[in-house]
Amino acid sequence: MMKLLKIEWLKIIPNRALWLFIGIYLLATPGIMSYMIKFAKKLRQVSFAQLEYLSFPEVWNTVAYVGSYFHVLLGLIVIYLITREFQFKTLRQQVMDGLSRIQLLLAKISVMGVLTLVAVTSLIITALVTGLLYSEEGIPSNVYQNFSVFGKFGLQAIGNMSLAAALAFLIRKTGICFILFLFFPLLEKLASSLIWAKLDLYLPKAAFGALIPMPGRSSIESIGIDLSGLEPGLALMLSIGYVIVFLGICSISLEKSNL
Amino acid sequence: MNVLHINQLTKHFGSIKAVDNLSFDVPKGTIYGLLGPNGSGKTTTMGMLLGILNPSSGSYSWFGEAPDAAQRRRIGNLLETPNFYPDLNAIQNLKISCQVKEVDYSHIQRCLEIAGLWGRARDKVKTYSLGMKQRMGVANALLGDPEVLVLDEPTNGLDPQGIAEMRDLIIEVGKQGKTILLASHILDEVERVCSHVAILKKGKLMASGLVHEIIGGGDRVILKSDDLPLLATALRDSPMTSQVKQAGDRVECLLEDEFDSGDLNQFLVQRGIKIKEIFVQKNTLESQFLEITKE
Repeated sequence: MMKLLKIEWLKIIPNRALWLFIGIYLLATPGIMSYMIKFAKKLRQVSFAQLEYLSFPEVWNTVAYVGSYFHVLLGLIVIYLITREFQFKTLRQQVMDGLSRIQLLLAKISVMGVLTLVAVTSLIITALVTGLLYSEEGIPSNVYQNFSVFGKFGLQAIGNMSLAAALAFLIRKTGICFILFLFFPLLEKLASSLIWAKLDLYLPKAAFGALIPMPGRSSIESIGIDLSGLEPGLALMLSIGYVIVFLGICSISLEKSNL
Repeated sequence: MNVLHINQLTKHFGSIKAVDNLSFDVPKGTIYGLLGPNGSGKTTTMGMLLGILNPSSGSYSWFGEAPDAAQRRRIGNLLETPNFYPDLNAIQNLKISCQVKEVDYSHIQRCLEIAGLWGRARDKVKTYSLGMKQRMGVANALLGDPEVLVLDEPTNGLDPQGIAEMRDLIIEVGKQGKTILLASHILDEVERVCSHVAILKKGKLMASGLVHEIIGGGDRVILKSDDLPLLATALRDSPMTSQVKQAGDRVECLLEDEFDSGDLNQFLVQRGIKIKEIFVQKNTLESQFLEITKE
């Protein structure tokens, strides 16, 4: 696996476009968080302490929820990394030179793993800094509460990237994959409207989305607004299932097709 | 011992049969030419042998074993146009290949020097001409000093000097006891460097074997004389010739291997036949190839 990661690393190091993508991703969550806090303060005229979702331990979930919207960037990165290999026919060269087809997939999975680690680390740092800035009492004793959200955030990232990888290995064209991936939630809604109204709750993007609840969801629901979504346990099971299915699609597509 | 054994290998692309029940063996240490017109299945065959195309049926084995990725690391390859990352330079690209082939980076400079590309090694591949990309493909194929080379049209895009260098390189590698499977349209090059050939047409094997066997004996001789019937009769009586036929103002025949045109001329003079013209058409791989693949 280290050999595969090293091969991917050699491809990535000189790729400025990719580093730009990753830079945007890393700055997106802290940037949006900072903007939202400023906006909220202006709107509510509140003190720091009253921004309750920004103090420990709720801040983990808040930042993870905001950060989850940027998984789309990770998906685009994965599509870019895979489809350019088809564009330059470099995957076929690597197979001729001595990689197996499953190693091609494992190499991309290793990159997805590293991106997930980067995403989770960035999330922890952003949440920690936000929490320290907006918790009146500093770090409370229950700071570890909600820590599982990082695992769910990582699963969400892997889920989005595995969906992106499946599209990329199947379709191989960057533009079409970008469009399909970006509009995937709309396609889920469309399928739901045609087949069964509640179907979209169980479809991949919705399942991944349900892993991290909206901050203050219980308060919103208590005033009668229905934020119907999957139960967390079911969302978790479905998400893991979808990751396995998407990686299986990648594997079958690579094994069965001509390169 | 055979390095490569191909057994009834077949590849369909939809309704098109690109390779049709192909079987032949490549002995160790030979330079084996794979010939055929465009669309005859040469590249498809090589693609299957290098693991990028899945055969529809049939099988092949390298080094006497079922094919796998580890075996391909023992095979240098250049299939169609070389495939590299355009935004990386030659060294960066070859580092990736070294990792894949599990070869030390120290091979890179030597291979780029052999390919004549060391001077441009730090330029991005997207700035290379087609010929330079081809040289880069050759450098990639030579990484790790592989036991076998599979080369598909290696002279594509090369200038005359590059073609000559490539021919010398193939001969040199062949002399080291390595096995080379070479697809090419340049038949006189193949005739000069290859010991064996297989000729494909529409995916089918039309002929295979040693080059001199494929070319066959018997140069064609064309003769002119004032007395053509007498000339034809004398040639039919001669043990030196066969397939004698009178055509217009000439007589054509095949000259047996052990004789040359001087022997024939002497024989005819002894028979009192005055020859006005004698022209020997050497049998070549090209003439045999055209004969075998003609519609």
